[in-house]
Formats: sequence, structure tokens, C-alpha cells
Amino acid sequence: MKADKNGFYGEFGGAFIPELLYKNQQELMEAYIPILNSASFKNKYEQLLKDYVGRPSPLYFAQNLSSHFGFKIYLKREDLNHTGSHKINNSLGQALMAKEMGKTRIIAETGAGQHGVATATACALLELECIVYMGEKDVYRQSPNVKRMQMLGATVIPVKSGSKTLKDATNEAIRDWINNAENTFYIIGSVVGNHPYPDLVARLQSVISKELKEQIEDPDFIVACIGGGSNAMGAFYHYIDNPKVNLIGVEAAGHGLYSGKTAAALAAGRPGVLHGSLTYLMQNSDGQITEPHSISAGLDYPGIGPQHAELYESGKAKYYSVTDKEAIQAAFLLMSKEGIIPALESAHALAYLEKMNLAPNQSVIINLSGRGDKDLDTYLSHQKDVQHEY
Amino acid sequence: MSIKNALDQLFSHKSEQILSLFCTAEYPQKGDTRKLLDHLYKAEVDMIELGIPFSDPVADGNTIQEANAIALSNGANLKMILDSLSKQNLDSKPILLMGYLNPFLQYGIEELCKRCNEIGIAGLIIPDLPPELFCLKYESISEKYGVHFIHLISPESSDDRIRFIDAISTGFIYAVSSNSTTGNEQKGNNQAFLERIKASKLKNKVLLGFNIRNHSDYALACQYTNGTIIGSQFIRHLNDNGLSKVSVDQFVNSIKYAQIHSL
Ligand SMILES: Cc1ncc(COP(=O)(O)O)c(C=O)c1O
Repeated sequence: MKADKNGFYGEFGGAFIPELLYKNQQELMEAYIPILNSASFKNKYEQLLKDYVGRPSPLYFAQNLSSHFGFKIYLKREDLNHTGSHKINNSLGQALMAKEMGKTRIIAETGAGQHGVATATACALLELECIVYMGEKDVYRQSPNVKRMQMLGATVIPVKSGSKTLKDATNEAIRDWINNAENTFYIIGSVVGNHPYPDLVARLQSVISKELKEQIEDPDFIVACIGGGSNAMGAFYHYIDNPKVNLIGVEAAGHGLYSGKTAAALAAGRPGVLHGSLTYLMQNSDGQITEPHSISAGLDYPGIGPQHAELYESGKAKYYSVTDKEAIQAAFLLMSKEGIIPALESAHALAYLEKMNLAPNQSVIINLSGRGDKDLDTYLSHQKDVQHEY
Repeated sequence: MSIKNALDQLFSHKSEQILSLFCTAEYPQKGDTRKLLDHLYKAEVDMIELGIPFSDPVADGNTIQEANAIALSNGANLKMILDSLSKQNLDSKPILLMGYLNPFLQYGIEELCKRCNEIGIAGLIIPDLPPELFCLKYESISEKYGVHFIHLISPESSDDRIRFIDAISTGFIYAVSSNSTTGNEQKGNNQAFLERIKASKLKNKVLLGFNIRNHSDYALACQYTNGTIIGSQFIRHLNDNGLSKVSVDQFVNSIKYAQIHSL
């Protein structure tokens, strides 16, 4: 997927930034492709992905889950990466880039804390100062990750404004960036933000589908959860123009699409501008961004990356949503059938399996974007309800 | 058909020591926009910027963030602010709306400019609308309805960039005093930038804004530019002293004439 010269994918994307960030944005625009293509970056990045992250991540045929549903289910095991999710693919790449560009201070926003942990890890490795903004509500509900970031030497700043979740953490990171534009590199955690971030993050995550192509013949379906949409873009990337493969993004419906407590930006939103790009957003008639809700901190965001907005409009990918409850049930099913505790985010992709009606020879890849260690408290608190229903 | 743009009228007879004050609409109380305008009409202020609140004001520091949140909780929205402005007899002092793109976009930019023209609003300041996109999408609308779109420059803007922005600007250029969000008390005037602005000999008037706090900031800015815009410090003053004629006059005097100023 290519952006036009102003950074638009169809009508979506762009770089809606204040003049204060113009120079930084231009700097990144000019630097990112040459750096990504340079031999020195490639060598370092690929070596680290292999020896440090543990790539390629396995593609696991989930026998028990397949028998349960009656079709072939494979799990792309991003949960086995160092730090426990796909986020490290992006953080390492951007941190290496920051270093190439001579930046000394790294900032990041985080929801589930996975991007924060991945960034704190990359900064420890590359000896960069690291500041992570995290909504106060997420600091509480993802506390194991806060402690991990702190152990890794990052400063975690709780954000008390707005809904105290990912959107507000992103606002605060952008403010920091404006105030420290000279020495600071903002490592965005998803395919969101102003151009060229969506493209940069998608390219760094595209390693997921690059590996898939070597691991399996064209599958019938690839399913991924969508917060901003980076694990999904990574899993879709090399299949976008392949009509044989159906691409499915799963948004977080929260309590339900019409409950007023949802984070499904495509299903419940309309186009608008937030955090530097024009994309689908949950907002009221006055253009005020509405507070999202998802049980999963990593999906609790009112927007979606502009590339997904365009894939949605063009029909090249399809998007559905599942509720908090469906995600929890899917997580427990994976635990009992396969002995894998998924991240709550990834559980949304798993929950979509219930809605698929496939023939036994058809195949689905679920992008298992992360592991669920950070979500144990939430799972434990729902254990009773779920057991009750089985 | 409306009268001549109030900003053009102002600049036709005054181009020095311009003072523009910014305050969020419907702040601190619902309905206060009208009171605010009345006091500012009578004060020694040349121009008024009314902030249209937004849920996610990323270029603003704490003071204006809070003002946005309070205005929204007061029920403020763009439509209601425009309706209330259209019911008042606007003074000859130019009024500009300053806000983030999304509420304007949802209202419809053409619809908004048409309405501004009818009501007599002189211009729009939209920090997250880059000049390139303005040229691509809204320049002809701006001309058609005689509504100025004000663009920002900052110490980070190169000389080439400043010349480009000057070339596409009408109304005036909003120079941001330092690389910061609004109301950042750690950052102050950037003398090198002021000198660069002066040396650029721009065709447009230039007003300096962001982090102007007192008479000395104002006086210094006026040596290099056509005047200043004060937002956060004015709002802090209103927070401490209330929204009244006395309070507004007191603030304006402290900026324009203070003999003694705090260090
Ligand atoms: C494990 C996991 N999956 C998915 C996401 C959602 O992000 P994205 O949609 O960018 O992949 C997160 C975000 O925190 C995450 O931690």
C-alpha cells in the first residue's frame, strides 16, 4: 500500500500536524526509506530480530482448536517474541532509526503496556533515554507491564486527562514531542499518527506476513485484532493484493456496538482528524472525540490507522467486531484447548472463529499478537462467569 | 453580503503594538462568551480570538486544556457558539476563531466560512491544518467568503518555509515564540527567531503568540513584530480574578503599560 506524496491512502491519512512539528516530520520523511533500505540498518535489524527477538515466530497448527471448530486453524506466534508481542518488531526498528538520526531521547505512548515494554527494551539495548506515557486507568489495569518498564530503566508518566487511556497517552506524547522537538524521537506504537508513521510502522511489522509466505501456502483467511491496526497491517501486508486470501480485522465492540461503550472505530465512527491523520474516528456530531471502551487496553482507542480505513472503503479487507465477553470466552477456550494464554487483544481475533463457518479443508491464520501474562488479573476476575457458561 | 473584513480594516489604520487576547468560548461559565466580548470591546484590545473547544487539544498546555474541558462540560459546541455570535452585534474589532480541525471539518469548512462571512468573523486559526493542505483544499473557499486562514511559523521553520507561508498567507502570520505547547512557563521569547522574522521583511503582518506573559514580553515582541497574542496568561488571570470589566482592564493595562513587572 502506497501513500501519495501528501501521505494519503485514498482520502485517508495525511500529516495534520502543527507547524511546530513540521521540521521533525520532514526529517523523518526524508530519512526513513533510505535508512530502511540501507545495508547497515538491515543487517542490524535483521540480526536483532533473529537472535534477540527470536524470529521467525513459529506458525503453529492448532490441532485441538481445529477439531473443535471443524476447520484448519493456525496461530502465528507473535506471543513468543521477546517481550511478548509483535510490538517489539516496530520498537526495535524505530529505535535503531532514531539512533541513525542522532536523536538521544525517546518517547512513546502505550495502552496495554506492550508497546511501552518493547520500547523500554529497545532503549535499554541501544542506550537511549526512554519516557513512556500511559493513561492512569491502564497503569492500573496493566500494572505488570508498568513494573517491567520501570525495571528496564524507562520513566512511566501516568496521564490523568480525558478517558485516562491510550488516546490521552497519545495526546501527552505529542505534547512532549512539540516541547522537545530538537532531540526527541517519538516511537509511535501502531499504524497511526501523521504520515509517514503509518507507512513506517507497517513496513516494520510486515515481517509477519513475509514469514507467513515462507511458512504456508496461501491460506483462505488471515484474522487479526485491531487497536490502531499494526499487527493486522503486518499480517496483511504481503497479501493485500492477493485475491485468494481473505483479510479480516477484528475491532473491539466493548459492551456492544450500540451500547455507547465501544472501541470499534470503523463500525461506530466516521472520518475525521485526530493525532495527525484523517481516518475513521468515534466522535459526536460536533466532532468531539468520544471516549472509547474496551476491556482490552490495547484496543481501547477511538480511531484506526488510515491504511485500514482505506482497505475498508476499498473492500480489500473486511472488518468485524467482537464484544468484551466474546473475547474473554475465546481466551479461555484457547487456554483449555491449546495451553496458551493469549493477550486480551489477540483474544478478539480468536473470538471471530465462532463467527466463521468453513469447510474442513479451509484454513485460517489467527495472528496471535501477544501473550496474556499482563491480563491474568482480568482473566481471574472472569473465571467464574466463563466456567459457568461452559 | 457582509462588510469589509474587520482584520483588513484594523491593519489599514494600525500596524504596531497590536494586542490580541485569546480565551476559550463559553468559559468559565456557559454563556460567558457574550460577557467576554463585551469586556474586550471596551478594553484597549485590538483583536479577539475565541477558542473553539476540542476534546483533544494536543498543541495546548494545561491552562488551555482545562479551559477546553470546562467549556465542553458547559455544553459548548461550534454550532451553538456561532449561533450566539450571530445574535450579537459584533463590534468593529476583528474576531477570529481558533480551534482544532476536526470540529470545523465536521461542521463543513465551506459551510463554516459562509457562516463566518455572514456573521462577520474575520478569520480562522487552525493549528493542525498544514498550509499545504490549506492550499490543496480550502484556499478558494477562503477567497470566496473573505475569511482569512491564519498560518503558523515557529523557530523550527526554515527561512524558505517562512517565505512559502508568507506567500500563501492573508490576514497575518502567527509566529509561535518558542518550540512548545501553549502556556509553557519554561520557555520564553526566542530573540534569534524575532530577529529572523524582522530580517525576513514579510509581506504579511506578524503577531507573536505562545508564552507571552507580561509587559516586557509584549514590549520586546513589539520591537520586532506587529504585536502579540496572549492566551494562557489571560486565562490564568481570569481564573484568579474572575471575568469582569475591572479584571479584564486590569490585565490589559498590566500588559500594555506596567511600569514594574515581575522577574
Ligand atoms: C498484544 C497486542 N495485540 C494488539 C494490540 C493492538 O495494537 P495494533 O492494532 O496496533 O496491533 C496491542 C496493543 O497494545 C497488543 O499489546
